[in-house]
Amino acid sequence: MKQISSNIILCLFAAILLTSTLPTALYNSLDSDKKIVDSDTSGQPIIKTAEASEYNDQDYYDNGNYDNNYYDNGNYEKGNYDDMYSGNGYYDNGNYDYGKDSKKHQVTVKIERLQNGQYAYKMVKHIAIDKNGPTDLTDRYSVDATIPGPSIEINKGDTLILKSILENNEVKVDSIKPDEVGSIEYSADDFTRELGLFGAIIVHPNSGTYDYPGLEKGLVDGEIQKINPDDIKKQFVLFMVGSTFWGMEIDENHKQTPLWTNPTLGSDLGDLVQFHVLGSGHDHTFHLHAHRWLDPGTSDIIDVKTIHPEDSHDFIVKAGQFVGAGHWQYHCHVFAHMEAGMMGIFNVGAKNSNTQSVAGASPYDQASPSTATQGNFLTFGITDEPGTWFRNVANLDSAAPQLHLGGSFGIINPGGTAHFVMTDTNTVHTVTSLLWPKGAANMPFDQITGYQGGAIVKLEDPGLYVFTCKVHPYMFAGALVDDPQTTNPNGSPAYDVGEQLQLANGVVLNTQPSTTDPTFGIFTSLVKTFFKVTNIHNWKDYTQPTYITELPPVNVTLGGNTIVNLTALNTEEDLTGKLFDPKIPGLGEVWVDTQFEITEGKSKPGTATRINTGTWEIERKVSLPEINMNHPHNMWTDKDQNVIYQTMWFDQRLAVFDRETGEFIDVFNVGDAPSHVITNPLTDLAYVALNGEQGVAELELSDGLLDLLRIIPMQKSGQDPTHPHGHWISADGSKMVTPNALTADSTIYDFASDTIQRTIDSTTGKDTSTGAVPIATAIRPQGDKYYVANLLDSTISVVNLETGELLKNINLLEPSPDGDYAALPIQTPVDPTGKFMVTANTLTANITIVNTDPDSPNTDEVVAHLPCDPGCHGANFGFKDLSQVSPQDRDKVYPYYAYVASKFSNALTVVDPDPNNDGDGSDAKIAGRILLTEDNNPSISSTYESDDDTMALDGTGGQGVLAIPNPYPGWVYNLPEYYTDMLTMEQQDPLHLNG
Amino acid sequence: MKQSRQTYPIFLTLLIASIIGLGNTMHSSNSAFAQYYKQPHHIPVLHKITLAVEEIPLLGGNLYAYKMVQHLVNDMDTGNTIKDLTNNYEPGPTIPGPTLIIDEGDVVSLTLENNIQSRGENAMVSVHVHGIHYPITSDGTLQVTNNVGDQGINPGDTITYSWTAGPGTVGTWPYHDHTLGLNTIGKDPNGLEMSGLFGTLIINDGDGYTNALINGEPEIVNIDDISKDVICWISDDAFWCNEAVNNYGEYNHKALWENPTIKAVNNDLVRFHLLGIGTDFTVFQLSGYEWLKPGTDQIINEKEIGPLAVHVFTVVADEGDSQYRDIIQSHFKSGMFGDFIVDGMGVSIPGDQPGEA
Repeated sequence: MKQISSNIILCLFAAILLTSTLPTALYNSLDSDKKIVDSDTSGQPIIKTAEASEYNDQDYYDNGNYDNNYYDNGNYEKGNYDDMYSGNGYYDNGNYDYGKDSKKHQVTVKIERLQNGQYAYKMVKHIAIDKNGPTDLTDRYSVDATIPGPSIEINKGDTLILKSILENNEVKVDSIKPDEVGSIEYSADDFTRELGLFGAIIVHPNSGTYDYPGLEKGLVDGEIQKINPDDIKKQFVLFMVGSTFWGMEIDENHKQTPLWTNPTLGSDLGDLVQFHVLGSGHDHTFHLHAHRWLDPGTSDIIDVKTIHPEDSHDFIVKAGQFVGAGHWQYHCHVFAHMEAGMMGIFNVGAKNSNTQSVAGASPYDQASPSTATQGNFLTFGITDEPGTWFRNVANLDSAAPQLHLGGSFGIINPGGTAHFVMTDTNTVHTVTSLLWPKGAANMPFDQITGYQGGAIVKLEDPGLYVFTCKVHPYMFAGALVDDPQTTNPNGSPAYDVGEQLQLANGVVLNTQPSTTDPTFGIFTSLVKTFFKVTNIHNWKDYTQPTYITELPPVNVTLGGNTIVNLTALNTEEDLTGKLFDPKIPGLGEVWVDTQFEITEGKSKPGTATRINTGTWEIERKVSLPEINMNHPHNMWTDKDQNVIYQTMWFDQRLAVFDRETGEFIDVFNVGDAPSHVITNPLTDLAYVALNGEQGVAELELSDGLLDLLRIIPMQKSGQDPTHPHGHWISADGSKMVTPNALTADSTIYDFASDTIQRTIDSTTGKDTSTGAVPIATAIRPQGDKYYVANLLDSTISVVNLETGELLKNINLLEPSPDGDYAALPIQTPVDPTGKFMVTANTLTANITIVNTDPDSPNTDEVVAHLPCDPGCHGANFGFKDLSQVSPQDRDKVYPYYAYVASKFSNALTVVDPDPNNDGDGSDAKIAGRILLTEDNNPSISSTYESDDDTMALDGTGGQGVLAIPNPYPGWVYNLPEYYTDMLTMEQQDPLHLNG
Repeated sequence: MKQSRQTYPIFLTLLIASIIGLGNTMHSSNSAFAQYYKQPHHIPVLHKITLAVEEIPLLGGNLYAYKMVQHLVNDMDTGNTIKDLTNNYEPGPTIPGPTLIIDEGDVVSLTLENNIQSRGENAMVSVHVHGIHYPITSDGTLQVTNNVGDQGINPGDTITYSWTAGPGTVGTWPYHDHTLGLNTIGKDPNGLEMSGLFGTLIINDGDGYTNALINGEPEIVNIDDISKDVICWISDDAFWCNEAVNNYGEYNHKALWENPTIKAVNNDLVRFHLLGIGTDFTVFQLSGYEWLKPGTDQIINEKEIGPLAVHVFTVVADEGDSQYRDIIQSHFKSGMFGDFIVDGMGVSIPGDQPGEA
């Protein structure tokens, strides 16, 4: 899939100090106007800028001298410099003004891959040329590749020719002649930028004749004053990337020292210190405690500055002036970034105390060789890529030795760093500790809202850590922190898992092997699930004869000092005969969001797959390459069943396409992480839960155009954002309920009064949690109660729809009379009759049936467990085609199927919740299992319509499910006659509202 | 109207100056007018302020707010109380917290009380302030950050912070809880900065001037000519506003709560203070108005405001209705806008108050 781009172009982003409010004016991007010309003949792109053309340097590069002779063979010193310039009139054409003391800087940087998989620039050569000839400034720089890359100091009016040697030895060259003081970012132009390929060009005032000595401006002694750059004791370069500061110090002699992540910046009281704050990747606000400074280009005094990607902010302070020495914090003031660790200290020591900076954690940090080859600094890129949403960037290459651990896992030593950066994702996430060694420092790690950025945390204590995104809770990153002091008795490495692990919901899991301790069972299920989810080779493929899951071949130390090899958890399953069609056909069609399927015509994953339930054949796949549809997650239809509303969960968009033809109709940017969509049966307006935000978007489809009418908040202003996921609307259209993924409760919205009600404790009347990470809801069509599936707690809450009172929590972990249990429930629809709830449980890969009729003897209890597939996720009901059942037998046939989709499989499970139609679901059974892609067997190969070609992960990612025609009370009453004609009286009126 | 605005306060100021017996102190200036007018600003005073943190109970999660307990203006040398401003504030907690308006040169001794009851013994809150001078012992952060001590308080305790509005501190600055934020890594589960614990400190120019856009031209105006300061914090889901109405040199504070209807008297000078809080970036507009980009003569009509960034401008209220808004779609479509109405009375109408039915 995603390859490391060989086309890393060195971009120069010149942040002009006199900025306007227009972002486009914030930088002078030399490639933004397509000024970079790739020359096939020379292989060396040269920027065509006004500045460049003034001193046409084309000959210089084209004649080959640059690469072949210039730096490498020492010709430079021998006068090659003069030769090169003699012929092109550079000095003679009047553009070069000796009097200004302008310099020309020939700088070459090289891209290197660091041990942990990050990228960095290394200084190769910096030659400054003026009228007196060349000076080699290379020894100013670190000999290592650093993040940020070398800070290239030049003066206003100087010319910088920056040559970048890529990993594949390809060379890119850009030049710039800045006419403003300030900082300019140079960086790569793809995801490697956030992984380390950024650096600063610092433009100081010209020290030439016109305004000698060149002066900076700053707030000193409480006044805006001119400052001689020679008086500046230290410069600090701080790049704000993801949710991490990457620092570099430049001393008085311009010698540079990398300070890495969130460093402690050392300075003495009263020293003049210049900060260069730059952004790369996401939006930030920079704040430094107890200091204030001049906003360049204005006379405004500030202490918080917005830093966008490509922005730079340069200011001078007198360290500790008026406030004294101290550990003054600097941090990003974006709240989620603060929570994610984006902070450091400006340590102002006493006068002349020579206070030193202290570098932070670095990708060069070493781990014990017996532990890890990638050092003690794990970096996870956060992507939209199925399986490796958290991608250990050391595992980008197939040849990486860590690959057997899967793409989202890493091993380090205590004190190592877990660092995250959202490199390639279209929406917001959290970086949340799901599991950690009980009592570990810095845990739990969490943010109260989804955000764009990253995270950084030190893992001090040995054991297993798993991070997830609370918005997308199957995104996993694993870190095994191994204490190299502990050794396996037989001498081979065995990594420390920890005696006890704590889950985010407070449950403690014992890792000591036990057949009786249920927490050990959950622990092993979680480990297996982790390596299934994060390794696409462990996904269940029904086109194969067997299903093999393989865990990494590593020894781990569990509780009780038990050493096991993870391969002991490997499994193998015969898939022969597992696919079969239900005996009674369904009516109409069922759509499944095959969310992970990769197609040729777009970079983002996901298709919607339509199955004809009369034939159980795939009829169509819709991938919408024209809009690069991204992670289609959940669907609903309009009252006429003409269109499909399609959410994109890892994105910000809602699409709508023609149900019959699959043709794209419209797309609308509704907000972050739109998860579920449902219509109100009264108005036919569409309601989209904004899982990355705090409300539900109300949209109207009119004349083929989507329009956002409003966003309905699911909490009061100022309260923690709810992040609703799988909402539902009552059959009478009066209420909407949401599962609030990040506030662990539910909201009832009343349409008529436009008010919200949170779940409350029935005895105290105070607000109450339903459970950890509520993810889906269903309203019983009778409207008396609704259900909330609490993913992490493995419970289903029963809530009074009128009052919001929590009536009961169904504990799925508790074995039911059939002896089975379930964990991590997701979608949980109640059938159109209000008698059954079918729940897809993802950890245990099974389906539970709950009787929901208040008249049932075991109402709101689990009465059956059925097998599902890995990542069991989505569920909805659809009609059986009762015309295929003889009239006298119809009373004995329950009129619906439940369709259940699984993320890490390519089959759809068809469930008959009540085969004998007696109102009790204890006899529920699997009615069929339908392949969601073409079968490998050519003799039974089906063909289907599609708008793109499937490339990989065929038929996988099953999440949202939608049956057409829509059988639920409320919606069923609005069906066009075309459909109602095919329904029995019972199917048309399951609640017997018409007698 | 404009003429009367400028002359009336001069008369008044002279009157006040003569009543309280201020001498014609220091300072040279461009105009005789300013020379007289600025005098009150040149006597630095000590503000003894007590704030309390209160809970606002709310189903689905309480909010927290600062409340003004006491604001005494004391003589810097004698410590004697010159004025008690306490009754100029709302009696209860407000979001944003009370607007502290002082002059360059003043000193603040701020005591914080913690009246949180529902979170047990460990519910630490603090005040961290921007802009003004203070020693590391008044940072309002935790020891793990400041290396000195936990500068917050648990319920029932008090803490006092010392601030000095020294040179270079003129401006509008946030204050807020800062108990979140361990050094470099990890975090404290407290941290109520997002839940209502934020307020505003305005340090007025010692010379008594600020910039304004008057009839399309950048001009310097007297701060005492500003009839009201409107303060709006733009959170991820609402404008939280209050206002300080200039009552002959004293400020009457009024809580305006969530997305209020802001009103002003036609042709009055109104100073807007906009501050960001939370995780989202916002883009502010005030329809029909243009204003000066702070610290420049550049005219703008829209401003992006990130978390804890500050944007201040002064305009002349122009008769009619306009709208203030955050044009980020997810904000605007969820109701982050309100009316700015200029009429004969200029009495703002508060928006929804949390906890109220």
